[in-house]
Amino acid sequence: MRRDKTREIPLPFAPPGKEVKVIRIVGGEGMKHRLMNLAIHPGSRIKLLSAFGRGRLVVQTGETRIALGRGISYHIMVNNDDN
Amino acid sequence: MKRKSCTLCIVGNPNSGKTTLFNALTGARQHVGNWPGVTVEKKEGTVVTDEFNFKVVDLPGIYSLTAYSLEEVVSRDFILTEHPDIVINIVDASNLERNLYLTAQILELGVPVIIALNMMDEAEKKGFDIKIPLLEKLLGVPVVTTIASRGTGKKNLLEKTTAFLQGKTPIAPRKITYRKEIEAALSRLQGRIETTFSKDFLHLYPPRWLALKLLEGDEDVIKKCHSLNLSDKTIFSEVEKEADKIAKILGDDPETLIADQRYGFASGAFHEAVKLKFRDRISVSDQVDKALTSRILGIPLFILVIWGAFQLTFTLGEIPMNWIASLFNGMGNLFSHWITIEWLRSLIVDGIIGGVGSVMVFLPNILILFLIIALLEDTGYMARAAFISDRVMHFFGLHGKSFIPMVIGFGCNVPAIMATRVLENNKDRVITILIVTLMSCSARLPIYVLFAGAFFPKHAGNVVFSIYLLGIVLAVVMARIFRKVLLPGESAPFVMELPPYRLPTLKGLMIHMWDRGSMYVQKAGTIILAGSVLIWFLSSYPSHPKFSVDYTHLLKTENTRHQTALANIASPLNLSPDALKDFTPFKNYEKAQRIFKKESSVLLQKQCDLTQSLKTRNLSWHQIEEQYPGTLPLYRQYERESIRHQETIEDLASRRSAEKASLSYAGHMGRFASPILAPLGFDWRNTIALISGLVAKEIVVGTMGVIYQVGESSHENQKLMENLRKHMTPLTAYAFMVFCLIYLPCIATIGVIRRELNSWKWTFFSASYTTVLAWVVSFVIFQGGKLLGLG
Ligand SMILES: Nc1nc2c(ncn2[C@@H]2O[C@H](COP(=O)(O)OP(=O)(O)OP(=O)(O)O)[C@@H](O)[C@H]2O)c(=O)[nH]1
Ligand SMILES: [Mg+2]
Repeated sequence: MRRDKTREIPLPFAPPGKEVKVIRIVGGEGMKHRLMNLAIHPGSRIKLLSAFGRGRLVVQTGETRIALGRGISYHIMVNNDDN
Repeated sequence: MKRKSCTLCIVGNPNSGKTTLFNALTGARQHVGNWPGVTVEKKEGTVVTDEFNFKVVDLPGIYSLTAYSLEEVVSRDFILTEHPDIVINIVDASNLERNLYLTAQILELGVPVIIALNMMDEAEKKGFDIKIPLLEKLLGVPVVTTIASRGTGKKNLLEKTTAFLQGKTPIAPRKITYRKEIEAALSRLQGRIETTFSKDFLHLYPPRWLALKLLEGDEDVIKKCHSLNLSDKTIFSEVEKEADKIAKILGDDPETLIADQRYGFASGAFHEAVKLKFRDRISVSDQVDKALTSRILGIPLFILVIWGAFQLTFTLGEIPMNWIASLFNGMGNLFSHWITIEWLRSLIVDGIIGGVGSVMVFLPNILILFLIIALLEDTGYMARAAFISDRVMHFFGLHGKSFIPMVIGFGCNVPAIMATRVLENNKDRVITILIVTLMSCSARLPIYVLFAGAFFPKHAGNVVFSIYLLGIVLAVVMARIFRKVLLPGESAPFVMELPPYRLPTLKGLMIHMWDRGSMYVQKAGTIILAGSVLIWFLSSYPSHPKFSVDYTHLLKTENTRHQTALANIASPLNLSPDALKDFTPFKNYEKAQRIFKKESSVLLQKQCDLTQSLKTRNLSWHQIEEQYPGTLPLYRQYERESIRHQETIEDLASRRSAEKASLSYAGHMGRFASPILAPLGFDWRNTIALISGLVAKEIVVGTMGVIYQVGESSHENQKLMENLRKHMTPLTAYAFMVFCLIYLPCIATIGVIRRELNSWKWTFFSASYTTVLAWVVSFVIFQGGKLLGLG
């Protein structure tokens, strides 16, 4: 449960195709809530499917595929190389 | 037997198939589409079984039951305060884990729930083996598997519902047990709530649920509690104390902790009840998505799709368009023969067939347009397109999701304005609503097709496309201005679920087209019919105006002149003037001419052969002249005279009908208003057409059809185009099309803007800015074109 700040990277910098774990969401309640609705919350595992450039991405979590704009993708901090 | 009435409401995640199930149950034809957020308003229908009379309510899709979005609040209030007899929670079986997050919250409401496990076909394909009895046990409610798009499982669903309503199978929803710190707080708060609130209030909102919501800090619930004017307000400080305590012990705020545990519950139930039979290979959907949303292919493919859509609408629509045109043409001719009462003939042929017919001609284009929009919606491309366009949209102060209402707006602005509800941020929504009316709806299409066909026959497709393009350009430019000047601020970040690609069903597409097509025909048969009759009346009466010249007298003079001329020709032949047309050599000359005309087009290159063929029939002019010496020069005179007479009469008739129209009520009205539009090159006819178009833009074409055809002998579309060319230049025609594109949306659109924005101010603004913009742009086009010498 230790939070290692150096291991945190914003989602757009995560390697494509690899599953990563969401550590925290840096943003207001509204944003957190909207991501929570789509099952993106601390602890959930997500995979970068494709990058449309400048932080616009398509990610997969569970069976859900989600398109994210750049206003939000940089607010999702993920852990690059956990178990 | 008297059936009992019951209410059954359908709740579930967006795009889980709620409306599909609703349609399957009730036989309704509500809009279904493969993107999240199709249904924006609750819809009601009925289904009657042996025992019950069910009222079925379809609600907008939601992901949870919090206070963050209006839909969620509306849905939970509906469930709690309207007391439906049963809640049908649609769960997408192919995305079970996430869907159960909402289910967990619905179970907490403590109302009877039945789960419809939908999309079983897709779950199957993904290799999910779902143990239904186990799932029922874990959730404490009945679970029925369904495939809504095929109607599978709806009987079972109604049977389970009936069994519950008759008291045969009780339903006891499982509730999540939270961590002990939270549970302890909940039970303390619950005790306080039961003593603080009135029985009536607690009857609507169960105490445990209230405790949970207060602890979560749910703004809507807190507001509701405050508005009760409680005598004892300590409950609020109590809640705060409990929340602080939890935050201190567990290191996170209760809201997050509770949400996490709900996900935990969903995940637990999922992993327990579902086994993966096989690992899904990389799905086609994945591959397609890689291409469609990639940086390199995404935008070219996107442009290709939009361009293809336009091409299809115009090229494919043209063929059946001609059939319908000739149908109405035939009808017009038939009625002109049958009806002898002159005003009635004019009413039916000029007013009704002229007006309604000219609008109906465009039905095929409109059907194809809606078919294409349905294809975009049903395949799942719409959500991708929204994502791809996000960057450009963002630049113009819009939002990627604004793209969806904009595309729907090409069909009709009314559902487009409803669809702006996919936008979470209110400013985004207002701006999108303001510019959506610049998306050229299908009602405006007939105007362009008519004018482009009449004035730019060689480039009709491109001209129409340029109008659409102008609409889009103006829309984004205005959006940018509105964002800067009226509603500054950031737009909401883009988050959207991408639905799986689905093959559209033929039935679904047919329903889309049929609904739209019948709506168009209905409109033609009602509003446009009434409008056409009104315009006919206004432009045909007064029936005997004071003309500037005496046409009857002119006609008489012409006839006398003609008789004298004929007598001059006839006298050398010792014939009466009337006998000329039956004079054998003249008839032979005419026949030769007819044959010559007919065959010359075929045998154009072989002119000598033609003369030869006439000779073999003894019909060359030389032969006739030899047979009846001296008749040829006289025939030439006779021919010239006949043509001259014919032309003079036609000219008089058309001058008369033009003046009659301009002296009619419509003419007076149009001329009264036309000084405002004169700088754009519009005459009174255009003015009247534009005014009539306020009701529905199709009427513009209908009005043109009526105004230009009153008193005309022929009613072909061709004739209407010819008449248009007499009164307008290509430049004014283009300016007119542009004006039609931009000015005041139709009444139905204004109505829905008013309703959706709930503000007269914005409604008035939308109506006035579009009209001013229309004037300015048309002015620039007309005056600029004139300066360039195009007029
Ligand atoms: N394969 C499959 N597709 C389905 C099934 N049920 C619905 N669909 C499709 O799923 C898509 C969404 O259906 P809708 O009924 O519009 O979904 P909704 O829940 O009303 O969506 P919103 O109104 O956006 O909340 C459509 O393309 C349907 O054709 C099913 O059982 N199997
Ligand atoms: Mg729906």
